[in-house]
Amino acid sequence: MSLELLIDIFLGAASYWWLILIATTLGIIIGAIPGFGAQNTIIMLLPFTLAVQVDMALTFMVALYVASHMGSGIPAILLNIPGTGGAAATTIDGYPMAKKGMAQQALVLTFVASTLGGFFTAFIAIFAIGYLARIAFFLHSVEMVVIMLFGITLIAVIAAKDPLKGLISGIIGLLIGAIGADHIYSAPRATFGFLELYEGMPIIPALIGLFAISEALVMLEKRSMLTAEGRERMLRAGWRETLEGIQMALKRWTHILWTSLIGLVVGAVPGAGASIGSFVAYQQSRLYSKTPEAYGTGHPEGVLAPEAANNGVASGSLIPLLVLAVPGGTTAAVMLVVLSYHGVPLGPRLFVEDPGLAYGVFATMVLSYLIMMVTILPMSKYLSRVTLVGTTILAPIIIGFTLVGAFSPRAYIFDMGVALTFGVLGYLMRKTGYHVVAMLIGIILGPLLEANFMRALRLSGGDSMVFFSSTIGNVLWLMLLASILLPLYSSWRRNRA
Amino acid sequence: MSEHNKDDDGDTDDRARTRIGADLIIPVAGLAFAGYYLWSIAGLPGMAQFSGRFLVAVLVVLVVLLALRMGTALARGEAEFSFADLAETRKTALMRWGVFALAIGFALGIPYLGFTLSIFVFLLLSMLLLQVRPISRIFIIAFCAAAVGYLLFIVALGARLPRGPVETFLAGIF
Amino acid sequence: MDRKTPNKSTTRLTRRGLIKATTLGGAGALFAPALVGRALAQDDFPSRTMQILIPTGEGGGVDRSARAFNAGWGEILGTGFEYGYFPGAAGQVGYETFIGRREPDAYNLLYGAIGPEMIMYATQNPSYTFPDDYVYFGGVNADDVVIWVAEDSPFQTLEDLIEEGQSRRVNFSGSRLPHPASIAVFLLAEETGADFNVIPYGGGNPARSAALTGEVDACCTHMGSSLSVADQVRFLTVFQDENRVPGLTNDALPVNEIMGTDFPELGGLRAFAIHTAAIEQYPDRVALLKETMLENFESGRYDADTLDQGLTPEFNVFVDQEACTRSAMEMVELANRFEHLLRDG
Repeated sequence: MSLELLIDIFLGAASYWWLILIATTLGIIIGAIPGFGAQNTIIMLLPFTLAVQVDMALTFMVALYVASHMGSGIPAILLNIPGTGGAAATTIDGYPMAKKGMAQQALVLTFVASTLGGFFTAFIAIFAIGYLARIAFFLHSVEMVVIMLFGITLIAVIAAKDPLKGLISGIIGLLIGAIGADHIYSAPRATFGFLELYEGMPIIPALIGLFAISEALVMLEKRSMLTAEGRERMLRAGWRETLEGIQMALKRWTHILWTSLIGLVVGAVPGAGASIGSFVAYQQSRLYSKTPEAYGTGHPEGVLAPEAANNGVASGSLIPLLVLAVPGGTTAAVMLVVLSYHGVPLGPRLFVEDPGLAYGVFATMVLSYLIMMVTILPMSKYLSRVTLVGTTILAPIIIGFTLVGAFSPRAYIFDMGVALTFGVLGYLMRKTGYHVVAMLIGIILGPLLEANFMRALRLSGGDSMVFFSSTIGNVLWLMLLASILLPLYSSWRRNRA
Repeated sequence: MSEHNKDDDGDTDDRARTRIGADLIIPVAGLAFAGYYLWSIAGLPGMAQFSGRFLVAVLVVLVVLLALRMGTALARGEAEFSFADLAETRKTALMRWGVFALAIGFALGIPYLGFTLSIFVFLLLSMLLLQVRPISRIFIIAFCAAAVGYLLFIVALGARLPRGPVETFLAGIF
Repeated sequence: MDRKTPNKSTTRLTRRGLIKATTLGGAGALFAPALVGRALAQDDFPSRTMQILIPTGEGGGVDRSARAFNAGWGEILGTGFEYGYFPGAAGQVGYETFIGRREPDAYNLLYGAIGPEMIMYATQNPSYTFPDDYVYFGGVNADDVVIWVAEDSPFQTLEDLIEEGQSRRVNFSGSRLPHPASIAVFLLAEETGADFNVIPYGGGNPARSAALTGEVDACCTHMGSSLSVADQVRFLTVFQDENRVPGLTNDALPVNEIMGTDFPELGGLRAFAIHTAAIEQYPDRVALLKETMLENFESGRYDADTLDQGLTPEFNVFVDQEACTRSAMEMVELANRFEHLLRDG
């Protein structure tokens, strides 16, 4: 690409700075409310995006989309409630930080990781979009099975203090994920007679129940969600904590870059998504860490990795839409509707007929991150004050709004019932030492794993050797094996020493 | 056993962790669900049954391991059988499950009252129950939350949330 | 449940066909009751907004197609349309809601795709009965089944693919197994003895992606949604007597023309459905609906609104109640015929 075109594209995107400002603000808000993700919001705002010019519509959607990834980390840290599945991994270390009175630092880590990761991957996408699009040609069902297993192995390590209970939570989660029509014959399984479960357990209501409702129920035992020491620290907090957070993040800039790359690669595969990206990044981050035992206790890297990755996914996930005209995920599918409505030629033709529009997507992303850096970073100080609000006020607000969030994606009252049921389940789990994140990993990744597994088997006519039939797949298997054995080996060595 | 019971994100309380009993609820519920799952897939094509059968088998093995571990701990006198993990004071129970009951009411009432009115009533009653005081504060919080929700979801986003008297009344204004 | 084999041929009218048929007086007779409908209508129907239930998601192809048609129809009827979305269980949630919870007053209509949703009816055993509980009283938009391969595929023609299938297993990506596009592949396999295997990808987009990125040999899917990838693929055939958009689909020939077969037309005809009780109770209202539908179709406004929705007007057709019913019954028959493949592969 010529420098001239590049400058043109950035100038074009920059002329919509005001729209990006509005869209990113809205995106952060809706990302932070479980149930009101980017996809849902873009559907709601179809009357707007269909009415305005195409570049305006696209700028708006892209800015909203990346901002929603940024926003979903906020409640994950402050309230232990991920805004979307992509931020579930953020709760593992983000919330413990908040409880210690370090919510501000944790928020800054999220913002810097999201911005830097998103900025970096969007920039790479501009120059390497052709190559990145090829990833989808090499990562098919077999390879995706192995990639998802990376995420699934988190189940075993996440509950480091009691792996057995972690595994039980995860397996029950996987079994819940296997509710609904099977992926080959569409035969309904364990739906309790509810048509609403035919397509499987709805993830947002389950997530809201497991995290938000149960958290609110547990929270009521104490007047504040903070520890006494954490409260002290929060009351003293000022701008210094924001700076401290920036330092913490920048010191680990290489960590942000490589975990965002994991997100970019996963995002470029149609059908993967932010949940897979962030779980795999968290797992990899922990694997190569010198202090794996610190993960889960409020470790900065545990916040950086999933957040950098889910913004990397955002950069990657629009690539199949632009290059192949096939949306890689649900949000991109809605964007396809808008773009085809406006008569935009997607696929190879787009890069011939309107390269400005294609690359403009990533220029918008880059600018969105720049703008968000300015708007959201200073907000950390004020947002973190949420942790000081008494639980008797916080709990009803959480329950009320997240129940509406459970309703929103499908507009079924039934889904509010799902959230309440999972609320009780999550409450029991928390009170008796089972890990809700482990169960959520099962519920989210289970159906994706099963779909890819079944497809691979059917492609091969039932030959299970198909899973070892590709070179890339085999390399991934070896890496998976190494990622399971490496921690065992190092703990054995530590014990010996 | 003692250190195992603690949740990793530290949500459970910090009492001595030598009690076994309450932590059997999840595995037992899991096994019950597994049984139902197997029953529901009987007669489906083999491939549709594969995942379910595999997962149920793994779950059974894990629960057996957990039971063995618990049994050993009980036999050695390192643990006692008790449901105290779930014990709560009358007041906490009333607050917690009172709010939960109100939440059920909220879900059932929203189709009739609409989003704005039902969230206002839910927040109002919940905070009353949770003894937030003074009452004027409850009103202000519930009103502001409902108003912000209305402006964001109904006015700005046009979300498909249930409409009720408030939405109908305000539709003329916005 | 009536699962008798219906008549094989469908009386489906394209716009050109309709004009011809009307001139000949054939189809004119079909619409005779409708033409006097307005005069007969005694109440001031429609006096309020029409309620359209969509059994798929908001913003999807069916939704947009409904909006394209209703823009002009609403003006003729002098009323607006409100939409409710009840996706899930391949449309079953929407149909159960429509039949169980919507008043049969002719204000409540359902807009769905006959092909896939009748296969759902045949395979999922819902609680309602067709045509006792509801009927499709007018189809307005077609979405034909096509088979295509990626541009760089070694298969140039449908015959190439069949020949390959006679020596090895050929994989097709599709959205679900119980779907008209899968039935199209089963029909081909049955006819030629080729080893054709349909892999369900859970949706049209993932299915197209799998074929574009080389995981499978070919894709069996709907034509309308494939047009966005038209410049990266080679269309091999269309399961329709006529290719409606030859210019956009490298002049792919109809399957019966290539094979010399007599396969039924397969696709997802989008049609309005109404409670059978409403037809019995409010014949005037239904007659008025039919009459104004045709009026809208013939006005030319529909095509313009279709373009406005970013859809292809070539797929606009008008299909009357009788032909819709025949097409629906035919789909049930096909689903029953291939039940063993839909259940056991």
